[in-house]
Formats: sequence, C-alpha cells, structure tokens
Amino acid sequence: MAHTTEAELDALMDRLSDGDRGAFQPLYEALRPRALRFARRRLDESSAEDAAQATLLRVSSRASEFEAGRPVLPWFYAIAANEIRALARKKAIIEDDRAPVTDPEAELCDREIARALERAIADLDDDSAHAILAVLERGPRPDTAPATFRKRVSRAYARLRIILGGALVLFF
Amino acid sequence: MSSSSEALRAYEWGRARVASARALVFASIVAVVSLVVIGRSSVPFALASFAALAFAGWRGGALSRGAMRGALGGLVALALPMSFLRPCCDATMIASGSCCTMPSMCGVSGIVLGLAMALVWPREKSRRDHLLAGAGVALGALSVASARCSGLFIGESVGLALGLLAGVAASTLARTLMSRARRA
Repeated sequence: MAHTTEAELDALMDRLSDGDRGAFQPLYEALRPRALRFARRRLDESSAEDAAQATLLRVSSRASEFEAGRPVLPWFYAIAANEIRALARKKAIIEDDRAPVTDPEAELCDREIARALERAIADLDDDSAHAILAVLERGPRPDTAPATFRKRVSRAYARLRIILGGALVLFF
Repeated sequence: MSSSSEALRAYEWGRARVASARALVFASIVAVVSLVVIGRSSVPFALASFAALAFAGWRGGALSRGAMRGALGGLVALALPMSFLRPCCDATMIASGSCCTMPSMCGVSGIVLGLAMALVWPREKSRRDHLLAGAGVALGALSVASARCSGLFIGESVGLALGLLAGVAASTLARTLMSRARRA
C-alpha cells in the first residue's frame, strides 16, 4: 500500500470525526503499520501486535472526540505510547528505551514521531517550549532559578499532555 | 471478528457514547424549558429530543449539524406562549374551559419558524449533504417542538408540525436551488 502522507491522514481523520464512515478503512490501513512499527520499537512481536490493536481500538473509539483541523499524528502517537506503556506494565515487560535504528521503517517511524513532537512543542508558549527543549538537551537552559525552571517544565508537561490529547510520553 | 471490524465497532460505540452525552445535555434543557413553559405533562417529550439528537449525532455529518440547529429552532417553538398559538382564547374562555382551536395559527407559526431556520442553516458542499442537513433541521425541530403539542389539540399539533415541515422544506428547496444556480 502507498504511504499515506500526514496531510492525507489529517484529512481522513477530519472526515471520520465528522461521521464519514468512508474514511474509516483507509485511515485504519494507514495507521495500523504505524502503530505496529511504533510498538515494535518497545515490545516483542506478539506484544507489539496486541499494543497496535489496542491503540487502533482506542483511536477508533475516541475518533468522534477528535478536534477537526488538528494534526492527527501527535494525538495518535500519544495514544499509542500510552497503550504500549499500559501493556508493558500489565505484562511486566521491560521496555527497551532506545532500541537502535536498524531499518528504514524504524527511521520513518522516528521521523514521524519527531515531527509530531515538534508540532506539539510549536503549539506551546515560548517559556514552556524553551523549558521542554532544555530538558531534551536541544536548547540552552533558561537563565532562571532552579525552582522557576522546574515549575516551567511541569507547566510545559501539563500543556503538552493537553495538546497530545491525554497521555504524555517523551519520545526522546 | 477481524481487527478492522472490531475497530469499526469501537468507533460506532464511541460515536454513540459522545452523541448520547450531548443529546442528554440538550434534552435536559428541553425538559426544563417545557416544564416551565407548558407543565409537567410535557416533560416526557424530552425523550423524543434525546432520541432524535442522539441518533443524528451518532450518524454525524450534515444530519447532525442540521439537527442541532433545528433543535435550537424547536426551542423557540417550544417557548411560544399559548396566547400566540391560540389568540382567540381569552381569560374568560380559559376559565370556562371552552377555548377555541386555532390550527391555522399554529400552522403559520410553524411556517414562520421553519423559514426563520433557513437563517441558521448549515452551509453544505454537496446537494446530498444539503438535503441531509434539511432532514436534520426537520428532525431536530420537530423532536423539540413536539413537547409544545402536549398543551395543544390534535389539529393544532398537526398544524404546528406541518407548518414547521413546510417551512423547513421550503427553505431547503430554496437553498438547494440557489446553490445549484451559483454553481451553474
């Protein structure tokens, strides 16, 4: 199947959240490999299948709450990360935090997640964005007192959680 | 069951859950308004509003957008005072319990309301969606305005319902023709 672009995914999700059932199958087929790729980065094959299916069920169930016009991937990966963590906790699987990138599919997955996170950070106010970038070691630490910085980071996490639609997992 | 049909079922349940929650909020408003304006006998009619709005919300799209606007129009019909729907009924006649019936007045009120709804009509891209929005407006308006019927005679209720339908149908037709003319 041809790779569905992010813009196409956004359009499909907008249609689905509005009740257009015709968008369900193409969206499902586009999201399933993404959910699987993402889950395989953290879990073994059989658990990854379970996590991918749980992600798709959760995404489908919450599709009508999705706010049209927002990018779908940050929301999708946040749900996926949450489901993976829940499954890992349930099965007492130790997550491999940083599995090395070994194939083009994994690279594609990483790129999409990075973009999703960038879009979510771009929606933050300046202080929160700088705080998150400093935590990710991608920017200088703001020249503030440690307590103020901690407060900013905590506020930034809370906002990211809202933007990502519930679960927050730092991907990097 | 395949994983895709399981996900589709989850989607349908999710839609039903969200639509029911929204419909419940609106039906509660309808129940309160009808209790205040008409009386206790009209409160069960809020179930019709709940059912109609939950169904339209579950289906989604133009039907849902139309139903929500129709329901708002229906609230106006619900709030119409009896002295307006039955102007020949003065205080003395009310006391003696011999009020006249005025189906024509109810019909006219319905038509005016139906036409007024054209102002809040959702703009849809395709002709099919336009008609679906019209059906949604009629469904939403009638489901809410039905509570008004509990205080009316059958003829008046039919007059109000037909008036609303006629008004909505006229505005649907006019908007469809206008959008077709604009495209041509």
